Amino acid sequence: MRIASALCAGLLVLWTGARSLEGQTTNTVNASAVLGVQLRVRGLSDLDFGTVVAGTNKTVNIQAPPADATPGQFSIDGEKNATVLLAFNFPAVLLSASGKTLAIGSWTGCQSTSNSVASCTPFVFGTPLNLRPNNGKLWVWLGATVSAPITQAAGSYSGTVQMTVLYTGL
Amino acid sequence: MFRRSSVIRYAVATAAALTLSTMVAARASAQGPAVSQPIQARADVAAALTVSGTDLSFGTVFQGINKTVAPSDLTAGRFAVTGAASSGVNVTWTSVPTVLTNSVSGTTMPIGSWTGCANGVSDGSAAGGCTTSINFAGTTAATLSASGELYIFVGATVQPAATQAAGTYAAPVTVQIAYNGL
Repeated sequence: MRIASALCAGLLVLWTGARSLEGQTTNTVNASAVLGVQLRVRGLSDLDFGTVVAGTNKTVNIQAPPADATPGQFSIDGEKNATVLLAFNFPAVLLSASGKTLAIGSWTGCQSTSNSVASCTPFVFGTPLNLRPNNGKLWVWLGATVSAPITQAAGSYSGTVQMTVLYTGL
Repeated sequence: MFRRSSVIRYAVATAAALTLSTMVAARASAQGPAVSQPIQARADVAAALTVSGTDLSFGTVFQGINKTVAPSDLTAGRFAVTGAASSGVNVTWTSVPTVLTNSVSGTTMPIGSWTGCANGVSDGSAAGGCTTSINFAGTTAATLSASGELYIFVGATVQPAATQAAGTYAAPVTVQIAYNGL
């Protein structure tokens, strides 16, 4: 008798469940979006070659620059552990106030999730990079080489280096 | 059986919708705006150093009689240096001969007591005021003038022997100039 009661109870549950599917039913799912941290880029330091003697080339090696030179530096803030792509607009020449040009090239990049050039890792331009997992930060350094022929006019030369950052993965 | 099948299909449809929603949300986030920032690349170009020279001439000398040309003499050797204004340079001698040599016979005439001085004022003679004494055995630090000039005057003493063979004797004197403060 107890077995028969148990079977009846089981059938009742099944029947009740089946009944609930026959009528109108509703369900809800959430539509959600998380607003990611907006990317922020800052230029922290110009790429400064110091003095270049005409007739010589001068390279700013990021981790071992000449005494009177400094590598360029950017900082990036964004979503923790996000992947970003860096795009650079490098000048081919630096310009003087009078319009004379100084050739620049052989650009190099180094990146780190800490603000320490000594710990940075060289990267290939166009390679996606990851922001720091716990705070979404990344620092980037740039180096290059200027080539001054013996006939290079003395004076100050400058050009603009633009870095653009885009999320490619969150 | 038909009803259980409906439950499963419903569950699958819901899961698919959630997956799609997740994918759409991720794609929307990945298309966030790019941000950019410029820095400057800078270089200050300094004029290349140039050096030109005028020979040190002892003129005619006689057997057994020493002859000295002082840096202030008109026949002193002279180097004219040009470069970046007011910049420091190191003056180093890579060849300071101890003898002059007859290019025909190969015989030599002793030369010694080198003296020198430098200034950034006049290339006519050291009389304009030498401000820097030259160290021929090592490096001398000097400063180019506000117009980027330096003049180095060189004198010495030749010591012809009493039996010195007649003829013309010569030897190169070579100076090297390098920036030391750039």
